[in-house]
Amino acid sequence: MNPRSPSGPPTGDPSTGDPARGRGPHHARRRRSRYEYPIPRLRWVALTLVGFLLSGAGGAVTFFLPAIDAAIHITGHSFSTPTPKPEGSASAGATPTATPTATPAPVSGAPFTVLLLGSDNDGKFGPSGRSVNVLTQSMILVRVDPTADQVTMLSIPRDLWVPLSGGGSNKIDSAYGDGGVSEAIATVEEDFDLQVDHYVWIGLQGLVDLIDDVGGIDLVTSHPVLDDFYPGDLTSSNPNSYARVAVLPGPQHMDGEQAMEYVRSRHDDIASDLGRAVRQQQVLVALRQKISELSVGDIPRLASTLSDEVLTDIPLTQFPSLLGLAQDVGAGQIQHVFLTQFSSCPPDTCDGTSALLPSWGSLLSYVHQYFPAV
Amino acid sequence: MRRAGKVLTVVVMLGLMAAFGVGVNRYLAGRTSKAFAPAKKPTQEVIAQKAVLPGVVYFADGGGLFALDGTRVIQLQPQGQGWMQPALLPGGTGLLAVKEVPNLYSDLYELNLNGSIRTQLSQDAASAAQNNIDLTSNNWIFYPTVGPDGDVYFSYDWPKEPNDSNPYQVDLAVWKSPLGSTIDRAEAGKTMTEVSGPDWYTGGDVSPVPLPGGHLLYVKYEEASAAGEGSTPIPGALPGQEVSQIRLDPTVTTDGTPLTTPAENCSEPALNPAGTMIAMICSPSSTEADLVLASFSVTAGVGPLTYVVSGTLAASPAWSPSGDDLLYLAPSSNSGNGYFQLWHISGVNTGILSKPTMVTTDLDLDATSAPAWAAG
Repeated sequence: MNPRSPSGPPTGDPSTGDPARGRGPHHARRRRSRYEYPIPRLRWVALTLVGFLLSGAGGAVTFFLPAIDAAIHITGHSFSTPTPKPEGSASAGATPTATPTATPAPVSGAPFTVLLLGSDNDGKFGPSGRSVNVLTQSMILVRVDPTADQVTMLSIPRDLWVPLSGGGSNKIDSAYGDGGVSEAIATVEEDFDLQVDHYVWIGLQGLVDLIDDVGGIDLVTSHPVLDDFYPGDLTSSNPNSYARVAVLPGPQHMDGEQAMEYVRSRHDDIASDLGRAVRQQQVLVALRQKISELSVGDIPRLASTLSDEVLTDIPLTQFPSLLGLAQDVGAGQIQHVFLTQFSSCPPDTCDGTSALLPSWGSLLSYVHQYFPAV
Repeated sequence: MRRAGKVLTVVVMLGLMAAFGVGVNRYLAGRTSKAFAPAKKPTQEVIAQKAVLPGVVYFADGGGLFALDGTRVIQLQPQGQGWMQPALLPGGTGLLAVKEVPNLYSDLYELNLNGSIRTQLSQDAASAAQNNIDLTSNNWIFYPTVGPDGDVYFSYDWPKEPNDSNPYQVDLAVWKSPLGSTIDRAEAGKTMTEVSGPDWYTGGDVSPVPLPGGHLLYVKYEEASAAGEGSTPIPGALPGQEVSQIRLDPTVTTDGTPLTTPAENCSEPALNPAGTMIAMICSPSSTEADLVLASFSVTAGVGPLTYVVSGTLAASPAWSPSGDDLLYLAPSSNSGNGYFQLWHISGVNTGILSKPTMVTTDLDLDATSAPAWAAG
């Protein structure tokens, strides 16, 4: 057989210097196809790659969809606070003017302050929502210094008798019930003469679910916590019922309900609300330790759990930085601060309630050691 | 033909792409932290041959009672029933255990070693009518143990309100009662005898360890800044900050002799069978609890503390019948996270302690799970 048979495939053009010329039909065919379909083949490769990328992205998006949805619900809830009063921050009766508060990015290297608000279960107060007569069980100021990897936590006693931003004086735990997040923040800012950059609100059931979802927390309970008048709102259909609680002392692994009983009980504590504040910070540190073990696969489940129980104004885009920060800060870099500069209200004061009267001078001086005055 | 081939190629590639997308989804779903995985049922626990312990270890997990016998975990009472704190009867002839009805009361039971109930020893439940008024007619009973004198020692939340003035005050006191008699607060001062008087609003007195000669070790919770008799308070402690101290020989009106300091913050004492060494948990912070050994005698008290396991959350030490081994609870990972497991140390009698080894891997133990170790 003549390899240069006219019936065979073209083998190149001498005028073009085609090197395939004279090399036989096999080489010529390979060469021709390379020239004939260069763009379509590249296109196929590109399309295939894009297809795989899109498919992979689709798989990832599907996986993270609950987290994305929850994150949209949870984050970006901005607040507005009244215009700061020029002086006499602890004076009562001022009429607030709501103005939007700038929310600087929390992790730009500069220290920032977050107000953690833990409140009664919103479901307890009917369909009108969580801001109706809901007291904050817990108010903790957290100052984060990203550069120094340093965190300071300051618990504000719930029974502290203070001027409310919305007018009048009352226990500080009523500020949230009176005017929601904005009034709670404004009250703290005005009374303590400091700036709150962000807030995080969590409901009681949210905390229980969060701790359950991370598999529980490990800590040393400080003493036997016994209470015959523990609120039964989370475990009973009657929101005003009571339950008995006995949290045994010592090192242990706690689920959400046990942890809630540990941080919420206060009746048989010699330190009263201060003891409870200590326990709350202890549980937060144990929870941070557990969350630092978070893996990517845990995010959607956790996000779904929290979607209706956590609200914050911190933008979603800042969360990766914050999670990184949570992992970088060790327990030894967390400073715990508690207020003791107060006394019980004398009879015929504080509207006759059992409240705590601040010694503002010494209290503010102490607070500003950790949270700078504005 | 060529067109059909192209179509087939496209179909195959689309299938592969879809599979890739599903694969990415499943890959991410599989990237969950081990720390968050649910614990297994104890009966599913697989004990490695090298971790097998001599004798039988009784423990509680998730409200059930279990026996660890060699490589097997045997269920004595099912989970979810509120069982906790098993203790051996003298001679290993049976068990005492507490059964808690959550958020209401707990009762003490005597059981056979196979978990069958012999008798209910306490009556701590209030009537439904009483519960409709308030819940203070219920009682808690915890930390049961039988002393050399044959009495049952336990912590009991009575009297709760000595002046009937403040129902918020609920503190545990150490009580004792002859084994077999009914434990009921109506028997207080009759068959039931109060042995210690708690500091009010502290949570009270726990973990009684009765000794020969009528002596008693126990743990008292008290204010760090106002520690009781014989103790030096911790300067600078927060108002109301509490610490635990191991003390000897209390009465209703006196705290007894302190054997550890408030700063050491020790609790959960366990005496070896010879009565010469004490194992306990001392907690320098809220995120650390160390396993500590020390010599002990009633006359000399506690010797210098040897920190055997530090930097973790050790809990609930228990001695082997030979006194050469110790079991304790601690998280399953070194980072302090993970469910509490049983850990083992040997060589106490020789003075050359082994490295701690994890006996179980998938349990979920807590403050109610304190093990009791029988010769088997």
